[in-house]
Amino acid sequence: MSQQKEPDYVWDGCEPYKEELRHVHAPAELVALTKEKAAAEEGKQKRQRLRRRMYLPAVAAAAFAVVVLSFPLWQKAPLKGSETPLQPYLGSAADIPKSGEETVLQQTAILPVELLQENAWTEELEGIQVKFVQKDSGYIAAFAGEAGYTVVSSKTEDLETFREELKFLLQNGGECE
Amino acid sequence: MGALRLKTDEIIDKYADMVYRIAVNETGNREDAQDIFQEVFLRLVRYRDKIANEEHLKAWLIRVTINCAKKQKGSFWNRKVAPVEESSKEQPDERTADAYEAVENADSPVLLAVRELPEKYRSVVYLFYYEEMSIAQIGKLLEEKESTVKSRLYRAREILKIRLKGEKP
Repeated sequence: MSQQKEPDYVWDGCEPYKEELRHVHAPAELVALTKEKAAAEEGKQKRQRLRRRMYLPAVAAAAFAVVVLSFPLWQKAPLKGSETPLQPYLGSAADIPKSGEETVLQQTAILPVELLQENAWTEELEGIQVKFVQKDSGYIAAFAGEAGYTVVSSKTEDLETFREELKFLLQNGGECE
Repeated sequence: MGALRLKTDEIIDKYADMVYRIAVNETGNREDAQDIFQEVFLRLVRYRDKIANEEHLKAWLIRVTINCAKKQKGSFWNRKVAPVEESSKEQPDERTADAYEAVENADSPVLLAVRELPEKYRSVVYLFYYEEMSIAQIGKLLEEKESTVKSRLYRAREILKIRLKGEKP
């Protein structure tokens, strides 16, 4: 750190000041104590670094293992009746065009609002989760397929007959033409 | 620009006097200077990975010592003395006058005159006259404009001349 002496800052007291300061020394006990504390701090830092080196890979490996192991389980986990994957409601079974026949089938991308109401229930027919709801004097049912939902509405008042119709439908592919 | 290869003990041995002198110069109090001394070297242990080489080390030690002294002084100031008004800032710093008595060589008129300078002048005087740093280097180290350093140095020298000769401004 060299200095070019600027003439404006020449100070008579400079030399005595430097001379006096040269006599100020750090006390030996203070230096020794500081070295001890510094060594202790270094030890602490080394231990922390070592801990990080040891634990971080272990934690990362454990987290990775949990993700890897749980993914297939999550994929295979069977859905409960109440957890049938549902699409958000965008329409109503009331909008389904009526053909004038007793039973009407329609392929939709969404589940009718009636089947999301509290009085709707789920049953398993031919190994498939089917949602049911009573509507006016008949029933509506829906089940998920590859192309969305197959919604079946019937004017029959006999639930058992409606189930039989659905079973027949499911045994024959479960898709409307 | 080599890496910092000195061990901590070697750094303490080499720079102990410098750090202690700055601490004493800044605080005028031996106990505070000792606290600052330890704090500076403990910080060094924590941050030594960020210090590139020995030139950087010296500048780092000076800056940290000055900053620690300011912090220490702030706490002392808050504990003991009521705030001063803005107009009195240019006056000699008397708030640690009692503490100066405890410092080695307090009888030296030159040292005493420097220690009685306002805080912002003391570091500049030390760095310029004792460490023989240039105004540009001081400006860089204290993160001040060169014009500010020049102004402080000029004012400090004027105050010191008056004090040491017993003249009135």
